[in-house]
Amino acid sequence: MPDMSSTQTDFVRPESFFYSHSATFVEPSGSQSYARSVLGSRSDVALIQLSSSPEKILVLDLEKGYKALRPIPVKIQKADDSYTASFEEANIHASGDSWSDAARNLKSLILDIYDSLITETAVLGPGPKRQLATLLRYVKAE
Amino acid sequence: MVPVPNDNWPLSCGMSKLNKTHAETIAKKLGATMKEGRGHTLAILYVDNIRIGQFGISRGPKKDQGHDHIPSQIFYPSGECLKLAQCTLNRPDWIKALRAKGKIPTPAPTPSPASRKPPSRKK
Repeated sequence: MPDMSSTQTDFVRPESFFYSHSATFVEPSGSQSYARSVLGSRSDVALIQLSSSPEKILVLDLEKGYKALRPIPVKIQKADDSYTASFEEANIHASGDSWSDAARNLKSLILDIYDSLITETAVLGPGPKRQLATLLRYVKAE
Repeated sequence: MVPVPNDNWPLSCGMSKLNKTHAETIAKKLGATMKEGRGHTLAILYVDNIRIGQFGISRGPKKDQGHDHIPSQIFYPSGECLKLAQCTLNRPDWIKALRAKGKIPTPAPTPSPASRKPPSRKK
């Protein structure tokens, strides 16, 4: 895991940092002074914890056979003793005991729903149609 | 009808915490088609053969695992979801609510035989 403690972040053009590093940055309007901690315990899910809640992360890598066309924005919220991870634009949500579990569960659920929707395009109602349209902008099967 | 206590008691109607047991009950009551996924069982919901939505049910052993994400995925408030799992609400109530919200199309009324006009005959 890279040491992120001294990382200089280009928040003016976060995409340039994102594409030149295997790192994740969210909140282009944020500044480094608000970032209290960077990077979670898992290399596949990075976290920038801002002083405001809820926390937001970006999911970059998907499992083999799938490609993230762009970083998937995920909101993490704590509810009692569990966490919910939400890809709100696609209305896909998953839970877990920790924020990283919730994010990992969400990642697999995104692919489950993607696989399932793409094989049933003829019978999709308005909600699932929107979900698939969103997913196709973020995920591609290789 | 009086709600019958079940395994989830004393969680009563009105509380918002949904767990895995609730999720499984909701899937069953809504007649979901279950499909095994990577880390979840996907409960897929159809109305009139149209896919309306789906939600994931964790495959972990914890029955009290939170599933508070379900309400937004089936377009139903969390209190109603809990009633669906524990109380008197059923699939027809859910479908009615979805139709009222415009999430599924209202079926066109079929004209009754009495109201049908016979085809006019041209002489």
